[in-house]
Amino acid sequence: MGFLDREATVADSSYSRWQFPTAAIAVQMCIGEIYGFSVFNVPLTRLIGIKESIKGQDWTIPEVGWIYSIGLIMLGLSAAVFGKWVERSGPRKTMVASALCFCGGLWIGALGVYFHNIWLLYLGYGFIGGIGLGLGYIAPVSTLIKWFPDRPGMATGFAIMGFGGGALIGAPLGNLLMERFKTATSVGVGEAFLAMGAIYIVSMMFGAFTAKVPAPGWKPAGWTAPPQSANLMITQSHVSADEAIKTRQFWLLWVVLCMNVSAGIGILGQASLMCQDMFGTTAAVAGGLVGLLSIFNMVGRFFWSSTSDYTGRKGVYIIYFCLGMLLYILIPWTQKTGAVSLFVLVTCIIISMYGGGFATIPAYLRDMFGTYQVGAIHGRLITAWSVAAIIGPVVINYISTAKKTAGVSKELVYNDSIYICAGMLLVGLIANLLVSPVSAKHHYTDEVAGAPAASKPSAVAAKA
Amino acid sequence: MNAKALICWILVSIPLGWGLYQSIQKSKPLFAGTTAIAPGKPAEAPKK
Repeated sequence: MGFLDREATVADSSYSRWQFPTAAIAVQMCIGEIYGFSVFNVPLTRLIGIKESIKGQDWTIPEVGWIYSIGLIMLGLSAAVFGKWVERSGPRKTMVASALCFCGGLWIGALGVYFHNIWLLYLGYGFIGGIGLGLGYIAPVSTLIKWFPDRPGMATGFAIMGFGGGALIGAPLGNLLMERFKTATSVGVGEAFLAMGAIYIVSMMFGAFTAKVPAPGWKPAGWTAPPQSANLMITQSHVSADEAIKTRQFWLLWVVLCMNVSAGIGILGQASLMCQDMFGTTAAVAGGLVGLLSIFNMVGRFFWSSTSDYTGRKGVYIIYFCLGMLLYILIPWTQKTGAVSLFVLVTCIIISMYGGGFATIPAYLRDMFGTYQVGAIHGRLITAWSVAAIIGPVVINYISTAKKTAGVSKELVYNDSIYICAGMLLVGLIANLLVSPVSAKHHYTDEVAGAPAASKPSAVAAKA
Repeated sequence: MNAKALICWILVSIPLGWGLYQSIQKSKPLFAGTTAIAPGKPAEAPKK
């Protein structure tokens, strides 16, 4: 039995279940740095010219932008591919693997900066770092749900909130480090990558070594699982990851996540420009909105996911979609009336529900498919995020740019995109309303007896 | 929650709090009273 193996991380009675969320946050707030990658865009295009980009020698913004895209694509792919390995290996081994990939990726990226080789950045920060992102993102989910069977929404809210918090930390930390290492001959970005890798590996290892799994049959003191008849939308049975993707419910939830994220991601990426174009505010004021949205993105993850423990997962997604549609339709009206304060309020609530959608989905999966391999199922569902990362920006960026090019007044170029976002939420609402309990024919049977004992339903969840 | 858990929470709260502070600082211009620059409908606002 290895030091990192699941069996070696079974908690004894001195371990408080409230320690585990901190392990999850410690990892997630590091990998969430990817959201702050944009601070490196301009410096990476000035590695040779330093003060300005030299055409033909320095990299261009589109070339640099691929690093971020590869990272997010690998997040989705690795979460889907390694999900079952994550379930078998447990959170500690996965977090260590995530730390080595993510921080190693940053260090390889630093080499890419040193040798001015963009392919090393694609390989390091993008490909290898992206695998670290995927592993770290799903590592704590399954274990959190097992530690908090009484509050699964709140538990996953903690972890996914950490990822949102990573965006708050990553961008200012990157700026701070580049400022610190900047010289007459260097923009400081390579050194910043090295330092960030060193800082993040400490935090991620802290997370890995704080992580422990509950003993087989463990349950919170005084808590008993509600009978199946109490709520048909929360199953007491289990479905394997391979079986889950054969169910209608998995694909309905895939659509639910994809639509919620697509609608939100477009606004998140373009909020600053929208504010300037629609209301004529200064760039500094619009930048302030971005700062505020980051806070709502983080807080919304915890708030809405915790709320779902009371409203039910289906209920909270009905709120996301119905309230979301109403708010999207309000945006053109705020522009017409010049109500910039209302615009700020509306976008903040929309982004809080965008974050909430991410945080609530693991608990929704647990309700539908049980705790057995819920992390692996979550990993496969994350592919919806990758697709949304393409759909969302296309809807907002490309349509608004095309309308600008066509000569439409810039105050009005976002209206069509916003109505399309509201339409996407309607699609998500319909998918959510169609979600029903999974048929018993998909439930766990003896054919998965080859699974490791610690992750078998009988061992981990029967009593929870 | 035991002492170990409390220490863990304090440790993760420090960077999260720093990030939150940075975002609040960044969002300050939004509340600086400079947003109400449009005298009428934005479309009619004078171009600077």
